[in-house]
Amino acid sequence: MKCPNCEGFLNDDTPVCESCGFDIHEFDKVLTIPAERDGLINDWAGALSEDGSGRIKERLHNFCEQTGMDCCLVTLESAAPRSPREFVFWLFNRWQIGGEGHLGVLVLLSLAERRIEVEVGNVLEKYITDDEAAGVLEHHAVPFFKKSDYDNGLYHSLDILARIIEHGVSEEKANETAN
Amino acid sequence: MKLRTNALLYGVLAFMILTLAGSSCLARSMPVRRVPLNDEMGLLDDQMALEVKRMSQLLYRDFKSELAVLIISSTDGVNASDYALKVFNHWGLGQAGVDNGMLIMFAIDDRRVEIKPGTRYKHKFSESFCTSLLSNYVVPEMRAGRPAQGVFMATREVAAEIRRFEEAKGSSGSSSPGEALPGHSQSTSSQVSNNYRNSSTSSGSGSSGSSGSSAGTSRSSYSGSSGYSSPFNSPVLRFVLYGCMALWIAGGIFYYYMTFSKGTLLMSPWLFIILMLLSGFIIAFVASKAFNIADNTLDQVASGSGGISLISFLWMFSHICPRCNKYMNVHTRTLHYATYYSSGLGEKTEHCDHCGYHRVSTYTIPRKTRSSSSSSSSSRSYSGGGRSSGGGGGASW
Repeated sequence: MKCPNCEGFLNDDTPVCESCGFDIHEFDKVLTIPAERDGLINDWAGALSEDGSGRIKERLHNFCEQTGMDCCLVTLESAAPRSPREFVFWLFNRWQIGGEGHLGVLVLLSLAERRIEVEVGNVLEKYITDDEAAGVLEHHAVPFFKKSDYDNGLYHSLDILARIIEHGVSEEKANETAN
Repeated sequence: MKLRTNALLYGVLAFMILTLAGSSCLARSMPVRRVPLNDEMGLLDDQMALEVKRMSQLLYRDFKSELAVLIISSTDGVNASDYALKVFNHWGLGQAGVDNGMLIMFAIDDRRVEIKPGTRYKHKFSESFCTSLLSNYVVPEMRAGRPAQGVFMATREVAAEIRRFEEAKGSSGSSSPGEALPGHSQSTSSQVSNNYRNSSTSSGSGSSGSSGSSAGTSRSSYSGSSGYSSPFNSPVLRFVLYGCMALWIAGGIFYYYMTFSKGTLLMSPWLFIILMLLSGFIIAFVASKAFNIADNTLDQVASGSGGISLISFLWMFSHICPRCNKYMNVHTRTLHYATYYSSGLGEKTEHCDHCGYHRVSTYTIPRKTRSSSSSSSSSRSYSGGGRSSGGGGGASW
């Protein structure tokens, strides 16, 4: 996996970055916020309306059924004392999203920092790279967030992320059958 | 969404109607391009045909002028002058740029003869000049029942006039037209027709467009003066027409301006389509009826502007919000580029600032294929010269 600070390489067994000394275990002491994972949507900040939450849950459920992968959405009041980038990385590994093979996507919305972060499992990087995921958020989430429309922003960005991965999976299946 | 499909349907329908209407003008198929002589009726005997061809060939040899003679039975109701112009431009007589073509068309059953000069000869072969030439030499032969002789006379006289014209030009030191590339040339508006209906007994009643005042004399009974006079020749009418066109174009620009900049539709899209097509009809009609309205350039301008407006309208069509019918932003971008091994993925975002309509759709970009041309060129690069892989055999004795 990649180090959230310096984009260096972290080993799964000893998650300590060689170049910058980032240690994932430090987070366990500092961040005590997260409770256990509760399904696909963990709306801790209460940013979503009932309707929007229902729509997003339905979409994510479809995605998980179709591809057999995992996708999770978390909203936070604040990621303090660490940055949202580090937080999403830590949460991804703590919850083991997508199981052992990291076949999952975690999207984190942090309201105080006005940040949205996405963490893609490194197996899924062949379908969607970090830059592409960031581009999707930039295009589909940020314009809505500027108007405080979290429902639509999260729905559309997750929808596109899901579609990209679905497309990649179906392509791969088609290639396998062709070969 | 529904509105958009409806409007698209209207547009396609109207376009089809327009196309059909346009093609009906060309109901009579074009004759085969056979220069110098296309004798569809078999009117001329071999000797006469040879003579006619020879005159044209001599002209081509000396001045690179293309003189074509077309003999058909009838234009099937199409205005003979228009038809001759169409044939001229379809055949592309004369060298491109020099436009030194000339077409003499005989419609035997219609009893009409047309002379269509290229741009180079349009001042020489003015309407009155052609009329007098035809009525002096051709029409009497036709009336006397010797059509072959009439064709021969017409060709001879026209060829002689071209020769005279070119020699005068050549002596005054103008550049030789023979240097230009052959190609498509435009005939000009100068059009002359002659009606040689044998109507001396009916005192000119059969001759279309004849002045009628001097019907008693044998000459004017078939000279018919101008077979076709454009109603758009009067400057006032022209001015009004140009004004209408300018107004129309300005209105269209204003419509687009309001749509794209202000985000308001002045009228519903289908109404705009109908108005556009109506104006297209009118312009096409005017351009087809009055070639000499602006020396044959206006039809190109009109068709060009029509094409541009059609394309821009089709483009605008995808920018109309289905919920509030106002302008909306449509943004497409590629998420995955297609490769030779997998198809790509693109997304299309439609967002309306006015009503908040937002729709994201993805589309699949088909995977790349190697075109046959590139593969053939790569194979060609290996085909030049023999190549050896270093094997081979030897023998000794």
